[in-house]
Amino acid sequence: MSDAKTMKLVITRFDPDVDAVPRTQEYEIPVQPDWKVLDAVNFIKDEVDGTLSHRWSCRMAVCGSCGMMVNGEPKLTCKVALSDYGDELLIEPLANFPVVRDLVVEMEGFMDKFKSVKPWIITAKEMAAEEGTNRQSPAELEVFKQFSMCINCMLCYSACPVVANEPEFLGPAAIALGHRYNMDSRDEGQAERNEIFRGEGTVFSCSYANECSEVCPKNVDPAAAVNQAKLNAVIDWATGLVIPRKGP
Amino acid sequence: MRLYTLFGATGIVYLLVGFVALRVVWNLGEGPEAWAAVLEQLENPIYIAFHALALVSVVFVAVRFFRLFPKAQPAFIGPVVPPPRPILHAMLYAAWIGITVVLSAILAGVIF
Repeated sequence: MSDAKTMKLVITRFDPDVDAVPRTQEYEIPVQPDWKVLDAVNFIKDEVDGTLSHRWSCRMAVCGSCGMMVNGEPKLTCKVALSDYGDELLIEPLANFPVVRDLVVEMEGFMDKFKSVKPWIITAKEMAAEEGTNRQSPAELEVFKQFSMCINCMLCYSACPVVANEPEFLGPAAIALGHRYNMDSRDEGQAERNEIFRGEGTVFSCSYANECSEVCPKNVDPAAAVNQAKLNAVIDWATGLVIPRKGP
Repeated sequence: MRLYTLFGATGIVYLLVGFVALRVVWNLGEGPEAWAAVLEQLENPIYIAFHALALVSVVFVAVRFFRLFPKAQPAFIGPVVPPPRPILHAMLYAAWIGITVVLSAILAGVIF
């Protein structure tokens, strides 16, 4: 424990069986210079207060589990260095989500939004195995690759001012995922997803604040996806007026 | 959230600019003396500071728009592929500078 200094972490605590509203609890802990914020939270859980609840898994910005509000900003806590902050840190559960306990938020609504954009490849006819593989060129991959890098960390929902005001808003990550499949050269489900995107509480609810892209730890740029999806949904609608679609 | 909040707050500045413009136009209809009086008032340092703030607000909103607009372009629209983002950025700034020069020339009486 060389070079150890101490730091005060103020953490939101909430036990639905005991607390009517969330409260804060302060922890003064020794920290190491190379620690991430998650290391400090894990230290509290392991060494100071085992009752603290939080989600984490991979510690390498891949699983997207450890998103929390750090000094009021949504952060992937395994990715941000403790040394970027002063001697005191406020850690809260992700904003815009119902809190299950302490730093753990409810993900069910988020996952439902994901499913609603049909995040799978839709084809009119499934290829038989003997027909070979469905090929895609590097250039075709490049069109959507950025949008497929999402790790579902939910930071974008926490940062989005539209989600804050309209919790039913489909939201940045789900729209980016739908757009990712719309841009996939192997997919034939654009009309179905654009129909969803033209509905209420979807792409046109976005006010292009760009906060989702600012906080994204994987540089997915969901704001770009949402606003590209807006234009595509309009073009698809206008094209449908001129060239009527075939029936189901 | 800070930049977005600042972006929203510029709306207050535009509202006030609208009130000032309405007042100026109103005085224009009230005759030459009222017009001269309002022009004199506009030389007040408070008005000059307010218009400087309005200019900063407009530049901020324009730069924000120019930063966000290119990435909202789809990768392709049918067979048409939009130009790369740096080119789109350059086109927006070129158009902005061009329009500013032309409007400045009109206001200065150099053309028309």
